[in-house]
Formats: sequence, C-alpha cells, structure tokens
Amino acid sequence: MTTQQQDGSWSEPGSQQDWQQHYPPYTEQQQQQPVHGDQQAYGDHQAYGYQQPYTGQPYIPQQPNPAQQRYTRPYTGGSDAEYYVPEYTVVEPEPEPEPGYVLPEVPVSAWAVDNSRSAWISRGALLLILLVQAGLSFRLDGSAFPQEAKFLVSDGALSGPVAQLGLAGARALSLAWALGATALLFGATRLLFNARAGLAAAAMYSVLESTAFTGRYASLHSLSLFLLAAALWLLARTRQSGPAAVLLAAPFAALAPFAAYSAALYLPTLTVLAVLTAYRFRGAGAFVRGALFAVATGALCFVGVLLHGTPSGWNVQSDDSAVELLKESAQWGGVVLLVAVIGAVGFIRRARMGEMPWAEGSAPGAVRRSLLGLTMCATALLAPLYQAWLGNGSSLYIHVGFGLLFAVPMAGLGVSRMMGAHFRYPQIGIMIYVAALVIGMAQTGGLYRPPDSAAMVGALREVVDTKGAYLTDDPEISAYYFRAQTKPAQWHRAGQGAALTAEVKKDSYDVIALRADSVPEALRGNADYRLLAVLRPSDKDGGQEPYRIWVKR
Amino acid sequence: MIRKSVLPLCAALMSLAAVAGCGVLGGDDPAAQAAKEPSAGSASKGPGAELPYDVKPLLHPGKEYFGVALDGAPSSLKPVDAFAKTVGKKPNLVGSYSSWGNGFNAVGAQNVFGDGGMLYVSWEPFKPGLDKIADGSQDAYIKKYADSVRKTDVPVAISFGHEMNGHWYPWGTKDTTPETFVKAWRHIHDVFQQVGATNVIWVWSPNVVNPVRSVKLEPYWPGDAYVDWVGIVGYWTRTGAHTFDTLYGPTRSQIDAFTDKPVLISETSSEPGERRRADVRALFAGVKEDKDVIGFLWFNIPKRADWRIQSSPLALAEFKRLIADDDFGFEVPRS
Repeated sequence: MTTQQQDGSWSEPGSQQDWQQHYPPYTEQQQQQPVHGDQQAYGDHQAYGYQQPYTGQPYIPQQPNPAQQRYTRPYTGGSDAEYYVPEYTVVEPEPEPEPGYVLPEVPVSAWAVDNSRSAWISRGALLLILLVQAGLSFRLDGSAFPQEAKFLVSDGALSGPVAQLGLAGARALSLAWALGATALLFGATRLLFNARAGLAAAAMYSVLESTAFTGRYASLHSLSLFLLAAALWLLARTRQSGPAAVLLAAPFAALAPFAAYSAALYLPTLTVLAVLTAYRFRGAGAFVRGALFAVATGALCFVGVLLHGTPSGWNVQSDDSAVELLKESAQWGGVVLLVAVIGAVGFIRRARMGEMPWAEGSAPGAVRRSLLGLTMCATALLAPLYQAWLGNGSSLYIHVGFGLLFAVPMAGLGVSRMMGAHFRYPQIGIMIYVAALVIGMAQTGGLYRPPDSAAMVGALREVVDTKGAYLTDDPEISAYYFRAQTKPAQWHRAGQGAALTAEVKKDSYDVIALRADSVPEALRGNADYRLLAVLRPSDKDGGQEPYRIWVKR
Repeated sequence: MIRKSVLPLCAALMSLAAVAGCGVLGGDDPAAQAAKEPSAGSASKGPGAELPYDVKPLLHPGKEYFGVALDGAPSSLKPVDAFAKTVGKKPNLVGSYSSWGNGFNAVGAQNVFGDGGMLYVSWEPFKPGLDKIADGSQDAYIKKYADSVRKTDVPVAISFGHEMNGHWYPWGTKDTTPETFVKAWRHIHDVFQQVGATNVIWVWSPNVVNPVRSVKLEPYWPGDAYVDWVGIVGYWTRTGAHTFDTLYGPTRSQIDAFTDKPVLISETSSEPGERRRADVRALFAGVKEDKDVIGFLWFNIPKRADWRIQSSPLALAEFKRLIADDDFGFEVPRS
C-alpha cells in the first residue's frame, strides 16, 4: 500500500516515501560533512558542551604559556647583525575545540509529511474542529420545528427507530452523524490531496450554516449527509484498488436518497468521482469502476424503490422566486464555493504547491485536474439550481450543505494553496476561517428559529382531550407534543382567509390555535369562540407571531 | 495503514461519545415539559404557569358577587377592610372609576386580587367623544391601557360608558348615537383582543330604563361576542320603585329579548330614609332568588345623597344580617 501510495497519491508534498526515495540518504549526507576533531564527540555526548569525553574535567581553552613561547630578548643595539632576526619556533596549532551545539538532523519536510507525529497533530486538529462544530450546533435550541415534529411521529423503516428517541435524542443523533460526516470529509480530502487540505476542508465545512443547522435538526438529513460522505471516503479509499472495490461505496450512496431525497442529486457526482479518482491508476479500468458504481447504486436504489416506494417531495413545484433562492444560496454557501473555485484554479494550474521539489512524483494531468475541479465546484450548484428551477425553496438552507460537501475538498485545497508553501501566509487561512465562522453563526442564528410553542402547548394541555377536533397552524407540533393525549387525526391544518372563515363557520372545532399577528376577520367578534389566550414568544425580537387560542364558548 | 483507515471511524466514535454526554444536558424541551406539566393551579413554575388568567370560571359563579365602591379604594385597601369590618363580610368586587385618558390602575387591580377579590372599573369616556374612539384615533391609548391590563394578569371587570341610555353623561343619548356607542365598544374590545388582554370581563351597563322609558336598549347592545355580563345601574330612591321587580324588571325584560348573559346589579344603593331597611331586604332577596343575577355592587360613597350603609344603623343591621348568608361573597379563584 505504501509503495502504491507513493506512486499513486495525488498528495501535494507527497507521503514520506516520496521524499525518502528521492532525497539523498541520510548516511550520504553525514559523509559529506567535514570531519574535524574527535568524531566521537559528535555522537551522543554532544550535549555535554565543552566537557571532554572521558576526562571528567572541564576543558578550558588556554593562551599558550611562556614556557611554550621562546622569544629572544628585544634588540638593544649590541648585535652584529644588520637587521633583527627574531628567534622563533612554530607552534603546532591547538586542535579546534568541539562545537558546543550541533543542529540536529533537519527533516526535509515538517508536519505535512505522513509520519505518525503529523498524523496525531492532524487528529488533534480535527478533534478541535469537531468540538467547534458540536458547539455551534449545541448553541441552537428550542422546541420542535413543524417538520421535526412530523418526523418524530412518523414510523418509516429509517425514521421510525430514530423517532423513538424523541426530540433531544434525535437531535443528538443528528449531531453524531454530522460530526461523522465532517471526519469522513477530512479523511476523503486527505486521501485525495493531503492532510493540510483535509483539515482546511473539515474546518470550512464544520462552520457552515447548513452543517450547524443539520446537526441540530431531528431528521434524516444528517444521516443522508453521513452516507454521502462515507461513499465519498470509500471512493477515495479504494481509488487504487481493483475496480470491484468501488462496490463498497455503492450501498452507502444508494441508501442516502432514502434518508433524504435530495441526496439523489449527488449520485451522478459520485459516479464521476469514481472515475476521476481512479483514472490515474487503472486507466480504462477507471471507467469500469465508474460503471460498476453506477450500476450497483442504481440497482440498489431500484430495489429500495420497490420495497419502500419513491421518496416523496423531491419534485414539488412552488412559486418561490428563483433569483431569490439563488441569492440565498449564495449567501449560505458563497464563501466556501469561492474558495473552492480558487482551489480548483490553483489545482488546475499546478498539481502541487512545490514545497518539496525533490518529491514531486507523478501527478494527474491537467485534463483530469480540470475535470475534478469542475465536478467538485459544480456539484455545489446542483441543489440551488434544481430548487430554483422548481421554484421551491423548502429546506434549501439544509440542501445547500449536500452540494457543499463535495465542493469543500476543493475549498480545503484552496485554503491550503492560499496559505502558500510552508504556511507562508497563515493569516489568509485564519481570515477565511473566521469569516466563514462568523457568517455561518449569524446565518444559523437567523434561520434556526423553531416556533416558541411551549406556552401554546401549556395552554392547550388544559383544553384537549381524546375526542375533540382541533384547528391549528402547526398540527404537526401539537400532534407530536400531545401524542400521549390525542391522536394525530384530531389535529387539522388551518387555512388562510376564506378557507379559514369557512372552517370557523363550520363550528366543528373545539379549539382553534393560530399563529397570527392580528385577529383574523373570521374570529373577530365571533359568538361561538372565545379568545382564551394570546401567547407571545419569549424572544420578543425573534420576529415570531404570537399564538392565539380560541375555545368554544 | 490500519491507523490511517481507522482515523475517520475513530473521530466519529469520539464525537458520538461526546454527543451522548452532551445530549443528556441538552435534553430539556420546554414544549415537552409544558405538555407533561400537571394541571395548572399547582404552584409549579415552568411554562404552564405563564398562561394568562382565564376568566371563564368567573362568568357564572356558583355564588353571588358582593361588591362595593368606596372612596380611596382600590389604591388602598384600608377602606375595604373598614367596610368589611362594618358589615361583617369581605367584599369580592371592588368598584372604581377611571376617566378616559387615565392609565389603568394596575396596582389597585393587584391589591384587590391579592385580597381575594376582583377590580371592577367603570371606564368613563368624558373626552374626546365616542366617535373618536370608534374611528381608531384613540388606539394608542387603548393599546397602552389594554397592555397594562394584560400585563397585570389578574381578572378585571370593565364597564365602558355605563348608563349610556341616559342623557346625563357626554357619552349618553344627548350627544351620541347608539351606532357610535356600539362601534366604539366593539373597537375597544377588538383592540383588547388584538393585544391579548383576555383577563377582562366586559360589562355592558345601562341605567334602569325607568327614568328614560323612551330609550330602547337593544340598539346599544354590542353583541354576545363582545359582552360577558349585563350590568344594571339602579338605585333605590325615596320616590322610585321599591320592589326588585319594579326597579329592575322593565330593564331586564328588554334585555332578555336580545341576550341571556348573566346580570350584575352593577351600581346600587338605597337612599337614606324610612324605606332603607326594606330596600336592602328586597335587594338581597331579589339577587339571591334570581338565578340569572350573579350579584350586586353597593355604592357606598356620599354623593348627592349619603349612600353609605353605615349612615343608617337599622339598615346596616339588616345588611349585616343578610350578607352573612353564605351565598354572598366568595374568594375569586387564584388562577
């Protein structure tokens, strides 16, 4: 494997085998050094400073004493010589004292090389990144979103067991999947490029708005992302193995759309990546690898559809403004995509940064580099473009994260390239990370605003029973929180305007709970219903409308 | 090689463990707590305790309200305590008057509620006229008032523009039409609903029709959706009617034609004189016997006549004897 990696890795300052082979061996280097003094003193004893080996006494260099110098008396005029000839003897020069300190052997490269120390540094940095991600998710809190509540009362093959965990449990599980996805993303990027790019990619991904949101959202989106990340990692991991090894990734890729339908958009990307990641090692075999992956994934998806039907909701059209959706997507993922494009351009121009020119090794050709850069960057646009085309902005703030998962390796490479060889400009990396962090935090804070339903639930608790019919704007939330007291069928979704008026006139609902800033016309001065309470959200600046609850008089 | 391949797995496992630890801490969902909370009334804090006061149980109480209007109350409860000592029973409805433009007496409302009773406010729109109220130009004031009521979160009975069928107040028949009155009433009610001041009992309070027979009440009626109680203002005077039926009957028969809301004798007293003791007896008997009448509010302030019950020892003795009946007075429910 190591030899293969040396040949086949796209690593920038290659793996350690790369330089070890190209660099003059250590012994050679030592021989080139000038030899002076006692060779023994250079070894283990150099740390003893001026202490002479074996003497046990400190050695202090001395001026030659008078006994060692023989001078003639100075000229007094009594000599017969015409000129003064001094008498002297040439003294043998003292052997040079040992140097006090000798620079230790300098490795040809620092931590970016895959030795065990650098691997542990990477793991430590990744752990910090994951801790930050967990913190960013945990700062989001509140009652269930309507979609979460709907998920938590569902009983699908995948969703049922998760729903059993309740809101807190399902959210914690989501975070676990999200952290796992980040770790796998690091692994995949490290295999495709190098550990530095891997860490930068994980750091960029961990602070994204969609990452923090998904990690605190009781749904299967997070699982779906984890499955995609696992498939990506397996593609990278098996890039040098036989084409059949790619089949390992197929089940993960095939399962992802059944967790969240939006993952289906990324199966073509994975197929392309199956080819592109393998091409260097297997030649035409790479296409076999891609075909195998596509066929296996397709077959598994087909079986899944036969067993569980098509996931619903994937093609619901709506009338949201396409421009607005693209604008929002740009706000949520623009920074990462921009850095990814920079990374891709840099990658296309130059396969490696050239930190260790002697360890260049072989690198993919320009065409393959271009295709990889293009595939990864373009994938980030899939969900925004698709949903803009549908005009359906539903959960787009989550779906952008799916595409960014594939663009982020390039973004990691971009950060690594912008920081330059040997971390020449670390401030650029820090700047990008801080910008992404702040933007992500602000956006998540704005988006993660679940309805403040606690007071509403508390008020309804007094009036609901097992028989009543209830009209509400959030039937999912009530059905979830009152799953012990009521049946989901007792909760009906309130209409708007004329539909609401008709529903109110029917007079068949025992309680009407609406989220409305003002009293709807139908309920103003209504002789059948009495306003029980107006419950304002505890966060007054949150922009949420108060709950208004009417009961039968 | 193995080390490299297990790295992502290792990280995932570590994060899982970390999350499992944190998940326990972050596991409190306020809404789930609210759904499980034992029914309100227990002293538990938590989201359930933040629910606004529900006046429903106060609308048709099992016993009769015993109310009183006193000088100085409810800003201070001393007059109420003194009155309670005089008659031997603590009133559970304390009347007060609030001119349009004045703020809501939140402290008074809390004082009274803290003492087991409920504040009754006669809201008197002397200025700027009901048409101004109806057209929305007074909304800022109404909203402020309503918000103050809502924040007080104790039950309050509000009687807007009482004795609207008389000609003696600026909002009466002389200067205002019934349509404007109804429009203003509904508008105020709507603003209160908008603000969410649901802790109000709305009392529509005409004067007894006896002195103003020509004025029909129905045009002044805002509708069942806008009114909780019918209040009747009717004093026992030396020259007027002297039975419960003749004093309140004609008014009630008109009202019965358009609503069956509970009736409160919202302002009454008896003029000092020979008949006072009999008047007191008739009032108590009438209130107690009539199932639709939910109580009375005694005007115990000297104004034009000395309406204070303690000014007539014999009548006071009768008052004391009758009010001792367990049917009169009760503690207003705490939540």
